[in-house]
Formats: sequence, C-alpha cells, structure tokens
Amino acid sequence: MDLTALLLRVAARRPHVLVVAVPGAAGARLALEAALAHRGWPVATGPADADVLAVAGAPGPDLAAVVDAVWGQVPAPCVRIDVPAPADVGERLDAAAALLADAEHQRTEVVDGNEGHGDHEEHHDHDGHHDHAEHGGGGHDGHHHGHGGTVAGLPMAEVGPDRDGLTLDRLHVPLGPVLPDWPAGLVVRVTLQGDVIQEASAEVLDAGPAEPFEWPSVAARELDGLARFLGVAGWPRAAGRARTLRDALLAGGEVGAEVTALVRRIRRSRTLRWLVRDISVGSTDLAALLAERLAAVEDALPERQRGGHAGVARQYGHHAGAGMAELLVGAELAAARLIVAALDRETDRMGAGHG
Amino acid sequence: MGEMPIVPEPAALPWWSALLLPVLLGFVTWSALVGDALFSGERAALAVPGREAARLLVGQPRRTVAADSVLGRVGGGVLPVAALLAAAVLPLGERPVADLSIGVVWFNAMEVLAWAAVWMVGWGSNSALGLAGGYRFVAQGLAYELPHMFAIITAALGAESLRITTIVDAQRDLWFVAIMPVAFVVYLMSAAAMAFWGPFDAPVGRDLAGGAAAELSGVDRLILAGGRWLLLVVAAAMAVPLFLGGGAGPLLPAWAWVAVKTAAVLALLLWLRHRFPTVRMDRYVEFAWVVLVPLTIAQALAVALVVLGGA
Repeated sequence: MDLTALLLRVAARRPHVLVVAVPGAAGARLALEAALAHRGWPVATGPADADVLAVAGAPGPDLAAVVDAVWGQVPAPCVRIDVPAPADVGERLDAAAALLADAEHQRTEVVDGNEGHGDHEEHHDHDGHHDHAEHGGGGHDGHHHGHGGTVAGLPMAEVGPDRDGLTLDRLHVPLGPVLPDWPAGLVVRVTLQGDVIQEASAEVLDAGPAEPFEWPSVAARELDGLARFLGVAGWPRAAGRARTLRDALLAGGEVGAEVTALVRRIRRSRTLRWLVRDISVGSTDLAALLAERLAAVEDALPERQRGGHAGVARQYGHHAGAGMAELLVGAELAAARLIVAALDRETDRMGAGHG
Repeated sequence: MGEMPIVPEPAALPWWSALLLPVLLGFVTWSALVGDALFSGERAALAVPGREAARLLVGQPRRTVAADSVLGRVGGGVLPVAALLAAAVLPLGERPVADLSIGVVWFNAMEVLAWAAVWMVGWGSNSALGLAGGYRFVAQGLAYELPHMFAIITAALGAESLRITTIVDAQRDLWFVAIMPVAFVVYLMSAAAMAFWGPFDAPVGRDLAGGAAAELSGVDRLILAGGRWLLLVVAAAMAVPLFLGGGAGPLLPAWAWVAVKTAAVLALLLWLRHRFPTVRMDRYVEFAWVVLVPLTIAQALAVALVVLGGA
C-alpha cells in the first residue's frame, strides 16, 4: 500500500490556496475567492502554508518575477495555476486538486525538480532579484548593506537610532505584494526597528499597463475592502460574512438588510473600537477612516441609490493629506497593516507613481 | 462515597496511565478541532482535522536561508511536550497521573515554556515576519502572565494548598468559581492567550502572513499547530479542577463530569475566537496591568479574608 499516495489523496480534498492578486484583474480574484469559499478550501497565509499557488489575472513582468520567486518557496506537494479570466476558475481548481492527488506527478514533476521545485533548502534567490519584493519579509532584503557584512549572502541588520534615542537594529523588509488581505500589486518597502516603521516607500508593480477594473456594484466593492480590513484586524467571522455578502451582491442578490446588520454589528463592537482608536493616519485617525468605510458601505447599497445619485467608488483618506507611504512612518507593523487596509487604495487606479 | 476511607487511597493513577495520557489528550484535541470546524461553518467538519493532518504529514519541510533550524525545531517540539507534562497533574476524574504537592506551580512552569517555544520558532526561521511574530508572543506573555499567576494562586489560596487534588477537595461545598469569579474569568483569558488562540492570536496573525509560523511547512507546522491545540485543551481542562469543582456532580461518575466540564470550557474558548477581533498587545498590556492585575490582587485579598475568617 502506498501511504504517501493515500495521504496525498486525503489532503487534496482540502488544499490551501495562495491567491496572488494582479492589479486590474479583480474579476478573476473575486471568482477565485467565491469558488474557494464554495468548496470550503482555505486561503493560505503565505507560501509555506500553500498547496496551490493561484495567480488571478495576467501579471506584468515585475509581478511575474515575484510570482516565480514565491512559487519557488511553496513546499511540495504543490500545483501552480493561472486564472486569467473568471470563467476558468472551476476547471482550473479541479485540475489543481487532481494534480495534488496524483502521487506520480508530485514525485516526478515536482520533487525531482522538473518544475524547479527540487531544492527547497535555499529558496530565496540571490541573483540580483533583490529589488523584487517577495512574500513580505522572507529575508532581509538588501538595498542597504549593513555594517556587519553578510551571512549566507544576506546582509546583516544595520543599526540606527530609534525613537527613544537608543541604537538598535534596522531591518529592510518589503511588505507585499503577496500578503493576505493586501492590495493587488502593492509593495511597501519599510525600514523596521523592532516592529516600528521608520522609513517607507510604496510602489505598484506593473502599474502602467493595468486597465482599472470596473466594479459592477459599488456596494460589492466597498464590502470587498471592508472584508480585507476585518481580515487584517483578525476577525475572520465578520470578514467571511462581508465576503459572502459581496459575492451575493455580485450575483444579483438582495442583501441590503444583511449588509446593514453586518455594519451595525461592526459598529457596535467595543473591542474593535478599542483596537482602532488613537492610531493617527496623517491628519485623521484609523477610527474615523473605519467609520467612513462603514458609512460608505451603507451609502452604496442599491436601496439607498433611488435618489438618483449613482454610487461612485471613493478614495479614502485623501484628506489625510499625504501619500500612503508617509502615513505609515512611525506606525507599528500591525497598525500599518490596518492603515493600508483602511485606506484601501485601488492599486489599478494608482498609476505608476507612488501611493 | 458514604463511609470515610480508613486507609488513604493512592492519590495518583497507576504508572501506565502516563502512557494513556497522550492518547486521551490526542482524542480530546481531535474532538476540539472538529468542534472548531463546526463553529467556523466548515462543511465536512468531521473530516477537517484528518485532511489537515494528512496535508501536513506529506508536506515537504522547508528551510529559509541561514535559518537556525535546530532552535526552531526545538521550539516547535517544546510546545506539545510542555502541554503533555502540564497535563500530568490534571485529575482525570478524581486522580491525576502525578499528584504533585506543588501541582499548581508545575502547571504554571510547563505552560510558561510556551513563551520560549514560540519565540524560538519565530527567531529560528530567520524571517522578519517570523521574528515579529515571536516577539509579539513575548509581549503577550508580559501581558497575560502576571494576572494569570494571580488567578491560579487565588485558587491555591482558597484551598490552602498547591496540590491540585486538595484544591478539588476544598470545593466540595462550593465551587471556587462562585467565590472567585474574577480569577476564573482572568484564567479563561490567559488560557486563550497562552495557546495564542483567538482573540489572542496576534503572534501567528494573518497580518504577518502567519507570524511565528510564517515559514513553517509540513511536519514542522504540524508539530507547532498540534502543540498549540494540546496547550489550549490542557489549559481549558485545568480550569475544571481549579474553579469548577473537578469531578464533582450528581449521577455521573467523576471522569464523566470532568469530560463534560472540560468540553464546556473548550466550547467557550472556541466560540470566543469568532466573537472578537484579534487583541493587539500594545492595547492588552495596558489593560492587563492597569485593570486585571489590581482586580486579581483584590480578588486574592478577598479570598484570603474568607479563608482567614473561616479558619
């Protein structure tokens, strides 16, 4: 009896899928997320947790290079699928599950290295790809080489004064573009001291050619952003609910009452209010941004649109008065993640410039 | 029941029960995983733990560049071992596997090992996200550990003993949850926090792509996840002898009451994860030190007065 083959078959019933979102291809991502929710397949948190790497959309050259690097970090058994169009999702996922369960394929194609997956000992590439962010912190990305030389090709952390005047280690860490609940294609390069961000710069990979995605429903777009915020805030139950309602709206369902109930529940959460207060975002703060988001969800509901003013997707935090990267300086890592999620910039509309 | 025993019963279970303990804990943990899948609204909830375990068993372990794999793997391994050792003083019915005279201290010492374990895993993977996750747990320990120690020492104070079986005996008339409700609630919070279970799951949070566990795959991830679940189960089970009267209850035998009460505490902890968003330690430390520490000290003082008054 082939125990490995048996385990592979059992495991392939519920693989974890790492979704790579491509700017301008929100349609493919939405279809993928809806299909995963329907099958009960979890979304992976990172390459180490993934069995399937699913690229939602057709990435440009920069993002494609990052995807290749991330693919090299996914442990066997694994399958990579490309979902260029929403219609292909079901078929591709079925094929992925079949390949995961196929012991012969996994042994010969994946582990023996025909797909470049043989060597997992050293999965960070050192061949000049350092300016491609990987999954958000796999290594100490080296723009600035530290004083301490290198270890295994990686620069040592450099030192610098921190906010209390102490001299502490500084790490250069790219956040994104493959990070859970993170805007498509966004990379924020941060200089961290402890978990406090000292410097930050943002860019969107392959921003030029991306055609902005036209949301069929503004309310669904708002719920999508809200779900990401709740996911980052560590409230999977509410985030899942927001995604379910988003998918229902996109399928043409009448879920106004449910959306209102969800928004009310989030507003009433004292814990969430306690967690988002006193985090400044430029001239405003995180609690105000969240309130704005929740109001926008309600305003965008089709029931509210009878007055004639068509729902228009809004950009948040414009009054915060600075580019996104500057807003993150001084924030702790967890707060920075919340700020990025609350601003929820549409990266396919951000252009080639900076956030 | 009834007549007093003339010869004192052996307080601990026979030696071979030590071999059964991992099996029993494994079974309870498996049930808890199914329960969590049910709470999460998963379809085929019964199959979820099996599929997940199979997935991690065939998964290839991976290493990051310049990782300290020995440190990371020792850290991962410490977690389930510490949980098992902590369970040794847990009365399974009326008697534990080892009836130590310092049972409460033993349990606390074993559970504190998790502190080192998670940090070691996070540091060992040589990844910024893992490192941040590991340090988040160190900060978490600073927040929950002190109120937690005051909570469990209040139970020991109520019984005037550090021996778990004596603490259970002291609750024959009145469960400790009735005279020390604050300690019980604080204990439940720290039980979730020590197993970095939601809403205290920031060390392995989604925002850090898995935090301390971000770079783990295959068996490494299985051991960490399994250890975490064992710790949650043992911490939930320890609430029963400390606060809920142990095996006391009508009709059913003691072991059945222990099982029922443990299941109830576990269900509460599983539910909590879905009810609240993740509590970050930059907020919780303040709450723990400004609110919980004074509250638990006041609780201990009140119990001390009751004990003195009753003596």
